[in-house]
Amino acid sequence: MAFTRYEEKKGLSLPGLIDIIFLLLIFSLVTLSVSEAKIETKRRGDRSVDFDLPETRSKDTEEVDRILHTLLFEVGRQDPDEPGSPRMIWVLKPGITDSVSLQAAKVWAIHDSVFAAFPENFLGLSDREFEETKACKLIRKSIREYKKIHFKKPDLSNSVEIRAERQTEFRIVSYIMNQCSMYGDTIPRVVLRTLTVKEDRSGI
Amino acid sequence: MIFILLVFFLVTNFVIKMPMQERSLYIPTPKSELGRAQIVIQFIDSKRVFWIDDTVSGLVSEIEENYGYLSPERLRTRIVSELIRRNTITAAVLDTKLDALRQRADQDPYASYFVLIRCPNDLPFARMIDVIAKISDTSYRNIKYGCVGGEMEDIRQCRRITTVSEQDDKGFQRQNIRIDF
Repeated sequence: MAFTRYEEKKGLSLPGLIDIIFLLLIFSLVTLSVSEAKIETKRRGDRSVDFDLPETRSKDTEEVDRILHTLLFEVGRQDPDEPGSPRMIWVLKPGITDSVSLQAAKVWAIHDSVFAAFPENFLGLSDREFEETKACKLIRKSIREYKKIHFKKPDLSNSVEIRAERQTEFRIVSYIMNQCSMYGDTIPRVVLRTLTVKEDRSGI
Repeated sequence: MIFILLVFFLVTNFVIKMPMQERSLYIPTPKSELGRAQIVIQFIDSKRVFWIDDTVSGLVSEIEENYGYLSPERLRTRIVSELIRRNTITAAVLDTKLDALRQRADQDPYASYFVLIRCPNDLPFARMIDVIAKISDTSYRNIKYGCVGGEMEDIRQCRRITTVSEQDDKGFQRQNIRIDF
């Protein structure tokens, strides 16, 4: 009886190949996530930096800066699930050691009742009526008090932050900016933070 | 199987991080002084924009010459309506113009531009942010910008719109548009 031995052809090891592919995939994912988190810096020309121009950050999205560094106005809906619910504003202040998180500051704001709702028809109010709303009074008072303690002299680093979803009406943002401009160069700029996707309710 | 789980974990981790990402931009606070700008962007609504730049002064001068016989009020109305007709653009055209502006700024480190953005109260402020995001990150940081509240109706009902001859910092005579609200 003749037996023929069949030898398996030794070709490419499929499981090994899959392992290598996954290794490469993991490497590229990790590298991609790390590089996207960095703020891009472009090479500048010979021209000296114009300090009159406010510093701008890259338009790329970046990780949420969860520590509060300055006065922050958070604008949102009373009921996040209800698009027609009134606009709310919360006043978040940093701690003495600059280690207060956004979440903690919001809890304190709610505890201290440092928040207010805009009336539903606030877009139709005249300028004077709008200024007399509880929310605008809160904005004025907050900026005034914070400026008194923290912004004692004009400085480019002095800023106030506004954090709001993209659909927030410009009137609210404009009002905060105008209130800051009342103090001239003492508060030369505001930082606008827009939430690009729906906020995760587990955090801020 | 372990690698599959690892990849799944990494991808999930990455995706979870995405909702937390924000954009942030610095905006200078407005100043209470006579406004000067090379470019004025007036948002009419979420889809249309009124754009005024240095090309407008020629048009205004032309109308002033051709229709100088009109009363000041009629001349103003004519100038405004013609400007609105010719300079109202869509969001897509706005993006193109902003890209062109950015390219011009990147090509000349000694050029400087100031863009004034006027937004109606009811417009989502993200529209303003989108415009500023396009022009803020130039190579030489030579595009300055400012943002104020303002309606298109303010321009339609302006008291006067005319050209004025002024000397710039380098001594050149320039025809500028002056709008009195």
